[in-house]
Amino acid sequence: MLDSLNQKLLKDWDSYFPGIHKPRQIHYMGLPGSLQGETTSFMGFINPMIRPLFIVKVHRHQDAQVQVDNEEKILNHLHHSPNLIQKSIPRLILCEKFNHKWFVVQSIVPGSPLKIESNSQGHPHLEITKKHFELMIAWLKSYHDLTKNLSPWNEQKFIDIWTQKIDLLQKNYSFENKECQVLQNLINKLPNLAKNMQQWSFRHGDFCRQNILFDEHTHEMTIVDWTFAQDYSLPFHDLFFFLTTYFLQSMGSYGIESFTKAFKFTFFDSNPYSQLVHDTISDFFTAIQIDTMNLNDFFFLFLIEQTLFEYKQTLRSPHNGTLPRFNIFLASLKDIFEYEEVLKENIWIYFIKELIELNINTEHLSHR
Amino acid sequence: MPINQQDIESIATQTQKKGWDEAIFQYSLNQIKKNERIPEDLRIADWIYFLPESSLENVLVIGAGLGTTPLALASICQHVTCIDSNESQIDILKRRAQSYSHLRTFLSDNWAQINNQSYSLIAVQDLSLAFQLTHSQTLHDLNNQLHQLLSLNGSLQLFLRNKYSIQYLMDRSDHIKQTRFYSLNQYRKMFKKSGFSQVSTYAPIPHFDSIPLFYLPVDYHRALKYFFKVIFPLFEMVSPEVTKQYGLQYQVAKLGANGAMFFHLYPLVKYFLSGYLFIATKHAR
Repeated sequence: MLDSLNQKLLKDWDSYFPGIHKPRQIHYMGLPGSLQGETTSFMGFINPMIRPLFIVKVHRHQDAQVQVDNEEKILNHLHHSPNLIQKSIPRLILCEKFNHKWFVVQSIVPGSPLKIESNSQGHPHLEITKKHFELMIAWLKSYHDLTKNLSPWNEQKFIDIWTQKIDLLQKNYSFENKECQVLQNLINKLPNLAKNMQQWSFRHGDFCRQNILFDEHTHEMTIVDWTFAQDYSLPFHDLFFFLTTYFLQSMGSYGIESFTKAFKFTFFDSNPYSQLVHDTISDFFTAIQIDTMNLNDFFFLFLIEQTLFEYKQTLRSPHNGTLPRFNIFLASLKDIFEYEEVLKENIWIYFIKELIELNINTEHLSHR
Repeated sequence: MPINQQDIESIATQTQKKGWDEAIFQYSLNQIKKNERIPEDLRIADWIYFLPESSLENVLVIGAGLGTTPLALASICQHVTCIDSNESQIDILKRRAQSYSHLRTFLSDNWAQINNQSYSLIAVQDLSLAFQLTHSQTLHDLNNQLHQLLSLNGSLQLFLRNKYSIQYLMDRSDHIKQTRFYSLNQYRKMFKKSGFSQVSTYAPIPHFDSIPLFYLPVDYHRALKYFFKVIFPLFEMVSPEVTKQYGLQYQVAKLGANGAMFFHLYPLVKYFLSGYLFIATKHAR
């Protein structure tokens, strides 16, 4: 099947790779990646280049039309934008089906994933983290300006969508009475939140440091892996996702307690790192003209959105032959062995429960 | 990676009672509790994208496993025939393949019915079964036998262990010692001798016989160099769960990779990898 792609690329080589001498052969290295991504990738090499020229992402499942359309839409839109953003994304070269499978060919972008540096206490090194956050915020602000009009705003649509999402969360997960009350309060606040927000965005969907490449020579940032790009999203989704996951995997230990500890350390404990996080959030909200008085509730919405997204992905995973190992691992830590319950396991529901508990104890994010 | 018969029967029973999803979940849970690997998921079949277009018409899969590879091939090929000696594995595949009318399954006593046809691709997922079905004594015999079953421009796909791999040298399992394995160059000579004109070779990393994280094109040195210089160091950025899963192998590989890069010996690394994926294409004799 890659040979069919090769035929297509070599036939119109100059239109796909202008200025690059047409090779006789293309060689591929396979990178299966994680199962949850639902894609497998291949780096394309040609002589005499020492680095790959392009990357081919193949969607393993035939029902990837929506994902492919979203990725194509956002990359084409950004490709026609000002230089800062245009240079920071892969160029979409080709998007086509071969033997019922979607092949998405993109340029290779320079850089290595953002690497976290820790201090002697195992916490993020503040100066380096600050630089990462500054880069990320500058990018997100520009990205937001360019994409906010891709999803037309409608207040009632926001209220309807979010009422459904919160109902769905309560339907799929069990909550105690006090917790249900907090969620019901959130539904009641939706009209006010809508008035404050007044915008959607086209989220990247997996805006973590592993997908942010930094070139040490040019000090430029590029954002890769747009597989989960999606319209009608919360405008701060990518920001919150980045901040929540930044520190998460660098903890030495691995389990629910260490993840929730990192979560609290990032957003709720008093320390220089969480102060930096809060300053970053304020900065971004100011830039996108959303008042921070509803910050706590917006954070809630983000966690709900992410929980439901992860749950939906897990429901699809038997297509891949097995459940994600991480789900099973999380479930085994809590002695959960019923299949239907394991499907629901993801770290985000634990974060929601933490936030609800903190809310019940009146430790609001926006009161920090 | 072989699964023990007790587990296979348990998965088959659970699949029958509760469906594949729950069956594989229970099995995976038990594996994770024992800190053991899960033998199959879709990534084990990602090599299908390396296949030439000409091989996708009529496919024979020798060895069903848990069904992942036959199903992956069924998603891109016109006709798939799968044969196995293990009734439970055939049963699992049948239940998983209910929406694939072009996938047929056979037990090995139907070999006579299978081997009077020609195929555009023969995918060998169970090497010992292939030996058994074809009554081959050596790998060369096997290659010859399967070559005859291939149509013109048909391809043979095999995973083969490298006799010079560090893992092979460290592995003291009796079933491994009993089987004859060869080096990269020896395998290639065998394929040529059996009439295969083109042999594409990839190295599944970290193990040739389990879920891979990479497929390295062993004959393209630039890709190997790029892998060791740029990609391999990024392994330390993956989740602690993944590094824990591949702990010892990663440390051994890291030592080897650092040495290879330091002494500019990376082109030689391919001779010491755990094993290879071969896609050998036939030409007219």
